[in-house]
Amino acid sequence: MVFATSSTRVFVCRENRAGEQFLTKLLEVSDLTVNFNTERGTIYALDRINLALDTGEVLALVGESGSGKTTLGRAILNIIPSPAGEIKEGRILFQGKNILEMEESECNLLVRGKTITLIPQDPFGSANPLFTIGTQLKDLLKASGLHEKEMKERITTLLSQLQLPADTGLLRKYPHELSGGQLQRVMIAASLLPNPSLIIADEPTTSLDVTVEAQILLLLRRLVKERQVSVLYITHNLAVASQVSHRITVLYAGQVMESAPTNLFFKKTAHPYSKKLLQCLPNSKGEIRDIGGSVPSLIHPPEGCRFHPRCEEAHTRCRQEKPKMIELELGHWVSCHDQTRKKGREP
Amino acid sequence: MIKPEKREENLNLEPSGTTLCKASGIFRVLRSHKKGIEIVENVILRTENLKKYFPVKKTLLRRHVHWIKALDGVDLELREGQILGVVGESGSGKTTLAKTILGIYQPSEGTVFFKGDLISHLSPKRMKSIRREIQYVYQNPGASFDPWWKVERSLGEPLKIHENLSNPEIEKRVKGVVKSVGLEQDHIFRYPHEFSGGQQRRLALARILVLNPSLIIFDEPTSGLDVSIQATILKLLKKLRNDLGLTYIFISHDLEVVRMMSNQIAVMYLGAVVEHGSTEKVFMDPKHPYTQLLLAAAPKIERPPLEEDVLIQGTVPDPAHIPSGCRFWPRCPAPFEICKTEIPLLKPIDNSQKVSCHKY
Repeated sequence: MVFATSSTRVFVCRENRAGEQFLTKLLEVSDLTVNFNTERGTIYALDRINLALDTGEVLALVGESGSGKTTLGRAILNIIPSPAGEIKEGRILFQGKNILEMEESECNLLVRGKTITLIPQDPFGSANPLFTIGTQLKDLLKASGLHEKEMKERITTLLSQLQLPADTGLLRKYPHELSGGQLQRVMIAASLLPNPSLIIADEPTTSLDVTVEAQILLLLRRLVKERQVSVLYITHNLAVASQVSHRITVLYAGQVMESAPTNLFFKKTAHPYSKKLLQCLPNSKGEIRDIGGSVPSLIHPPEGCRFHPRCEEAHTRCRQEKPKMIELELGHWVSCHDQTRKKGREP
Repeated sequence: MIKPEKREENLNLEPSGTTLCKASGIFRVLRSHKKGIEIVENVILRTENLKKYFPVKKTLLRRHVHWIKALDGVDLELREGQILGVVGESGSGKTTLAKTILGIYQPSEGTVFFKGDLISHLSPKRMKSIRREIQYVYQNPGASFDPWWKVERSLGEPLKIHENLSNPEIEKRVKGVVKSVGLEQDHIFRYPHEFSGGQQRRLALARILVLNPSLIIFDEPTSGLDVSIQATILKLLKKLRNDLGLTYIFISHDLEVVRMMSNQIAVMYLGAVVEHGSTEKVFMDPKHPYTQLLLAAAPKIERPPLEEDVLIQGTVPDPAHIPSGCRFWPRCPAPFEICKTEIPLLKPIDNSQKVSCHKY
């Protein structure tokens, strides 16, 4: 697993012996910096983000609200609201092409809703209340030139895979007639209809019951296995992330703090912020621990490591210098001065 | 059943001021020759066979079609200082239970006793004095504040309704409460939208605490919050309870949160309590298949991802058409024949756990 950093640039396209280019990564984000210009000042929302996603891999993006998770998801689709939002730097290579350099029309034709789809956080806010589920799902297939009958067949097969029997008149129902779990499954169906290679799931289970959440997580895992689709799973809950992901990337105030394969992340949590996030989860011992302090304003982000004001182990260097991403073990990247120092001591 | 009004009259006849419902036999009573009847045991809240049905009306003539049984016979008992966690999926009647206890909904049947007094079916005027003792924290505190009012006015409002205080006194009290929930004193001159989600929850808590209630009902107090902010709020709730000696009813669908907070737990399914007992007992050894399902479904780091066979498919049935017999049988992994016809009672298994399942 190769993780791209600013110091060690990894290129997506490599040449094989015959001189043809082939892909190593499905998605590769490097040095992505996003600012929002507001009346109160510039919000430094994302600061040199690097991440990579393989085909069939689930990457969980974990962080508190305001850490830039959703902004990153939007940047990948290049739908950051402009002119306030501005992608200052970086590139997003998807299947070898830089999404940020694409023409709007090209992006609409090839990427958005086609090869990259989005599962929204709030299904009721995203489905059109005036049209039936059937109409809305068929609209997604209109451009494909399929016949009415074929479209319906494809939709019903997909819905039955998602345990939504279409024969109960589901297609004739309006969004408000469905429960939250059902509608969220319809949204997942909508995101799968165009056969995408990447799904961005923005907190898809946050508003759902645990039982429905478990069903949806199970479904996502199965889809990833069967269809080899990649998922960028945005969540604030590490427990949920542990259930679906192959890899976890922790964001804090627009910076990547730690990124590791899921098993390794929980076994050898390295960054102080990740450790604190884990402590926040309710435990059976009954003691409650919080991080203390709050997420900083991104108009005036702290100098150096952005986590230092809330970090118990912070020292002078953390306040002055932004730590570099270092690889502790194969695939386990962390951005913390302490870890760099420890690593330096080892032979 | 005695008509509510009549019952109220009977209770008013009690000479000592402490009222007692003799017919129901709820409270163990001690007779001391001087004071008359005294209530022992510090039971603060008790519901008996509490039911709330909502009528469904259809067609032009608003013909009554059927009932939605949101609450179908709930018996609960809460002692002073306890924290009762109420868990269940959406549609299981958690919020209806809270609102019926508060008197926002009139129960269709059954009774609610608060500190020994019958409080269901009271007139709105008499209910007002009880409302100040039982307080309800709404699910979405941001929406329950008036956006045009400064926080100071919103927090002072309950005092204006319930207490006869001068403006400086109100401000003093509001400032004190704001401090106790961990906000700055100048925060009260701001508008609700200027606060973050976590701060809004603190404000909602402050608005309730100004009245010094003895029982607080929290409806999903941490839903929609980040884990870190959730931890901060839960910590605050525990601290306030210890400092002020409060009793909580804690409604949540997050089992881990309830486990951490409560010492009693009631698991609700389709308007009925299916399992009730001490939190430790219910979590360590869940008896009802629904409780087992809920516990299995909650994501946990230490546990590998769930496989298909563990999960029970389906969702909560429509409360207008509750299955016959045990209401859980269509989703139950191993229902008996008897489950389809006969409703199981909430039976005690031992002295700290009750379950309504034909298995036991």
